[in-house]
Amino acid sequence: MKIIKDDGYKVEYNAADKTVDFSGTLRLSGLTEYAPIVECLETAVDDADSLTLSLKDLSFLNSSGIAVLSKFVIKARNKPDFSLTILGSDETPWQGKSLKNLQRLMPSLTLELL
Amino acid sequence: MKNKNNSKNKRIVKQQIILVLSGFFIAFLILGISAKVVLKNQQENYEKLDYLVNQSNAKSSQMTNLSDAIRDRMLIVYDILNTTDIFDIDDKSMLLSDRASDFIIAREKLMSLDLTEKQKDELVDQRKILKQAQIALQKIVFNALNETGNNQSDLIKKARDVNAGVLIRLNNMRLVQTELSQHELKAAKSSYKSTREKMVMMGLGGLAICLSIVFVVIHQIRAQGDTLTDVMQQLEDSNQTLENRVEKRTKQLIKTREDNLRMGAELDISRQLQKVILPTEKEISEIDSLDIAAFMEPADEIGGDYYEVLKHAENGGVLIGIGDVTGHGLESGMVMLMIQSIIRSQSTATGCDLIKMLQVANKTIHDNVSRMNSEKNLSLMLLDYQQTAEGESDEPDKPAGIVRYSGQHESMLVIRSNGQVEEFDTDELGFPVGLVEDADDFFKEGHLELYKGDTVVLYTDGITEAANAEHELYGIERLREIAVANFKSSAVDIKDKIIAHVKQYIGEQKIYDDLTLLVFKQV
Repeated sequence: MKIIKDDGYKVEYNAADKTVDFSGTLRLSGLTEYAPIVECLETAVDDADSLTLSLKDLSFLNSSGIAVLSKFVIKARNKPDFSLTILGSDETPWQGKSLKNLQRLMPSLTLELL
Repeated sequence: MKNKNNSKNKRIVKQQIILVLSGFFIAFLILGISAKVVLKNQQENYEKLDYLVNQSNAKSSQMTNLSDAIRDRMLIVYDILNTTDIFDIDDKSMLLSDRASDFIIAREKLMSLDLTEKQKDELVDQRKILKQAQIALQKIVFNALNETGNNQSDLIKKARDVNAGVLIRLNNMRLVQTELSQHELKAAKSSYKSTREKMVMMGLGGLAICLSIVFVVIHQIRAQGDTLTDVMQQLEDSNQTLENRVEKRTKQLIKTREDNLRMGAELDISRQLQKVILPTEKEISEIDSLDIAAFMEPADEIGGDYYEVLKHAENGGVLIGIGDVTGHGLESGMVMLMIQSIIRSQSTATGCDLIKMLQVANKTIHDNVSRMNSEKNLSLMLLDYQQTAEGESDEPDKPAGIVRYSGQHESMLVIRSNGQVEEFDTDELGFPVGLVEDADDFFKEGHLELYKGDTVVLYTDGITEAANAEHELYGIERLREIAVANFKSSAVDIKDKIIAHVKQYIGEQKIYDDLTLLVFKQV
């Protein structure tokens, strides 16, 4: 269980469940500020052959964050036989288009919009 | 404020002076009164005592006179009894009368003195008794004169007993008087003592008042001295705090001003960039085949909206572009500058191959922003308009122009000449430019036929995501409605109507994102 937490957001990686849960709002500026989260995601990819990303409690993600997720999805795509699932919410405005784009980056990505 | 404090202080000082003087005055007054009272008392006591002593003496003397008178009369009577000489007896009898007069005078005098009731009664009683003695003595003398009566011894005895009794009683009176006098003297003494005590008390009281006044004054002076010291210390502290604050604030202000200047400079540069590389009115108006109107209003926080209208020489077509760079500030402006030059150069280089242009744009932007260690990317849609032959010859019911379009951006709105609205979703036609290194496969081309009177509306999310006071977004529905409502108007009018509608919707709220609108109409 690894938790990255700060003002307004929380990222929780549960290695046993193979889940990474995002909640709150993420507005960090630039790759450097997202580095801990990037590291956490990369560890998650390395640790197992599947992963579920839950974004339904993430009410906002800025462009840097979307870039981070995109790069992460590419990395996951490059790992053979890696199964990635993303849980999102239809009600959260930023997620509709951006998550579909992520799926296009990795067609095998399972996208569940609740 | 200073004057108020000043006069307040003066008033307090005045009050204190008055208080002190009053205190002393009262103390002296008390002492004065007590002294006067005491002296008066003493005077009274003295006079009283004097009177008493005089009275006592007078009483004693008269009582002595009385006693003497009685004794003398007895003695004279004895003499008379022991004399045979008639003339001698006569003389002595005269003497007896004289002494009787003396007695009477003495008693009168005694009665006139300050006697108690008891004493007066006593004297009255004695008078009665003495009367008997008197009678007895008279009888003795008479007998002696008349040579009658052999044995006067009974009479003598009676007279002698009575007189002795009276003498004893007079003596008792004298004793009592003495006792009284002593008593009075004691009373006077104790009165004197108590008066003295009272005087001492009052004196002490007066002294106490004086001392306490002195103490109070000293205390006040000390307290004021302390207050003064405190106040001066506070003043010093305040000054120091003030100085510290001023220093801190000055530093803050300098920093804020520097920040503001820098931000201002950045904003200015961004705005300049935007202005400089946007198509001019003149260029737009020179395009005959389309009626084009463009609007861009940067927000206070600069976004990075991009649009382009390029008449390209090669095939007589018009290249139209619209895009929105993520984030704000100088970096976004720079990315927009990059895109503008890429699109312009690539339109010539690729011969308006929209997909190729987007692919190149993607790679270039991605590599550049990676270098800048930035995460900027943009939505970008490119359109290439070509007039058809029929359009040129103005043939009705045939498409006047063909629009190829590519890239992922906001949905394109097409309002047909009959008022019908078509919404073209572009999600599948592209990918955010610069987001990933390789997005080549994502760019697809779409195809649109334009008939005379058709209108195309392109915009950025600054329009659809504009919020009113209740934080409700303008949305694409309202945009459709207002566009449809004015579809018959010229591009400029449609553009103006849409912008007015959006501005009205926003009202007084702050605009957070650039408003960009591009309307072109097939003429």
